[in-house]
Amino acid sequence: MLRHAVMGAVLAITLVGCASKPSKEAPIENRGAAELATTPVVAPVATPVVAPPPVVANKGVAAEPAAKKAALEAGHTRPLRADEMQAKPLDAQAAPGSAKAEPVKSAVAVALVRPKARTFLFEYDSAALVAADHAILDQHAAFMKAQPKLEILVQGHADERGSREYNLALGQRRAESVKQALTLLGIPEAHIEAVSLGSEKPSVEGHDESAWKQNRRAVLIYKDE
Amino acid sequence: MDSVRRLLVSLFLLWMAGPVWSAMTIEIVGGAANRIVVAIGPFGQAAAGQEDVARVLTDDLSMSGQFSIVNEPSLLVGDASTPAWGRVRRNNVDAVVVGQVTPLPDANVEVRFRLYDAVRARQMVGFSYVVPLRALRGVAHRIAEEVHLALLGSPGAYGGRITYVVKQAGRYALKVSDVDGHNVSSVLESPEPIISPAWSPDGNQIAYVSFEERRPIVYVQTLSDGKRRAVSRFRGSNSAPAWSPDGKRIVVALTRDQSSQLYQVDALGQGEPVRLMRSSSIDTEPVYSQDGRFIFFTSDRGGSPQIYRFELASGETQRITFDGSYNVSPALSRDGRWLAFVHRVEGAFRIAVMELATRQVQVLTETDYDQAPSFAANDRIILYATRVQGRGVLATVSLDGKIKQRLTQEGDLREPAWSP
Repeated sequence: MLRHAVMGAVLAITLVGCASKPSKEAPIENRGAAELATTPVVAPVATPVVAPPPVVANKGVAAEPAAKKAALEAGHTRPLRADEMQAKPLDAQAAPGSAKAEPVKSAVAVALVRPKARTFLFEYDSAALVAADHAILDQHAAFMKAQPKLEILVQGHADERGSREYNLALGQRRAESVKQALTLLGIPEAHIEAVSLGSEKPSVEGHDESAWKQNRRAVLIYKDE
Repeated sequence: MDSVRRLLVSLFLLWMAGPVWSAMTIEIVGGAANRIVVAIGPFGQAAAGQEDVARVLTDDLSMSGQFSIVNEPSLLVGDASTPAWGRVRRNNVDAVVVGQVTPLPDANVEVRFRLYDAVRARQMVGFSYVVPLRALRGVAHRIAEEVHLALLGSPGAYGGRITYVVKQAGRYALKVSDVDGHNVSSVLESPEPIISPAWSPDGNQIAYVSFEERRPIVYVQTLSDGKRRAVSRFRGSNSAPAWSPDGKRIVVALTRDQSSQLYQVDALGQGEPVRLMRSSSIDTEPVYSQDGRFIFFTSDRGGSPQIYRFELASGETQRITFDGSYNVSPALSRDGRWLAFVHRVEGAFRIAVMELATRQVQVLTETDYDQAPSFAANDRIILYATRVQGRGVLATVSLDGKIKQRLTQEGDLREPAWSP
């Protein structure tokens, strides 16, 4: 609102200024008011006989503000109409990573990339998957559905503590957990083999929780790799 | 005379065209409070390459933790069959063993011994044996048994065998040896893990789980000729073999129906497996009672791994362990009186025994990673695996927790089982 008021005031002052000051154009120039409105004002020249170039130059310098002023005066005569604005519609800008621009092409691009995350970790004595695991399994399921001949092996493991046989059963439970998640996403059961290696094949050798944590895992292996 | 002796028993390192025999070291860690002092005389001059019977007898009796051995030839004079009683008594000796080895034709040998009560200067027991020369070491173990029985009134465990797995340089081997670590042979050598060896009741076969096909499969192998057959090769995991007392059936844990369940299979691998019970939990680690009436096993059906007992006749299952939240790996004494198992207490996995009549539990070890307990043939010693300074070793503990041994060898030892 304030901006508009200021703009209005400036416009008003300029117009008032235009009205009161006599035009610098001498009658010698023989310029009409109409011409004044549309053409740049040329700096008045002193009598041709006497005008030295410097004076002209000076006059030239002095003329610029006047020219600008005249243009300003001409432009501010009235607001432009919409049809004078050279309006052109703009298409919405594509957001980064958005598939809107070419939807069909990007869906195919996702399916062809084999998901890299293959290892799922578990809490002690647990075979429960968390939301982040399911998100990764979604990707694997999508990939497998695009190539229906694919078969995978899921290997379940346990950390080294306690009975080897109980750990073997626990590893199997973890492998089955991943297998079940994938079958619920529509992958045929016959394409998923779940085996257990118990505590026999740790990925990290060590005898503390930082090692045990890494070893409580299920690993997804594509049989064609 | 009671002093804790550190005894080292080593094998000769024999380089052969075949397997390398590496040394098993057995040391006593803790012994009986009052040891019986036994003087052992030389059994005659051992011929070159012949086993030294006195040496084997000395090592056996020392390793039991029950005896203090004195090898003092000057205690025995004359034809070495009559102790010098005066000198014997002055050395606080409780008993004396004298003996003789006599070569016979056809590579046979006669061994005779006499055990004397030194206080009364009277013979307690004496035997003579005639055996092939190669059985000389076995005879020495037999003599140790007789001495132990006569002096303590209960059987020793000198003549048996053990099986165990060695992991070394990324390879695995299932071994069989004498209880004292001698006469080692390989049952299976594999680049993949081997677990859960189980002796057949007649001691002629071993069932085990091999990962050589990248998943667990149960094999039964005959020791005399090395022939083997897969008795359980179903989808999923096949593991935890346990023989029935008549040697005709083997109970295994199978995950063919998703969760680990117990099935009975024929020991010859014939016919279909018979499912023993249904649960949606992990059931594993079955073991028969000696009378064949019960199968003890591990299950987490109650929410945590505990030991249960299944009665074959009635099909009923009873929970056995209640202390703590992790009790696994049941092992039964042959007389049916004791249950040994792995018990977790404050994060440490220890060997415990339960007297089945009273259900009283005693924790026997103080280590942190104990596994795989099994009873010796005399039901008084428990053999198990543990870790010492990051390395897998075997260990024994007596039923009262007082006598302990540690068995070490190059490599990582695990999964031991004492022969029947």
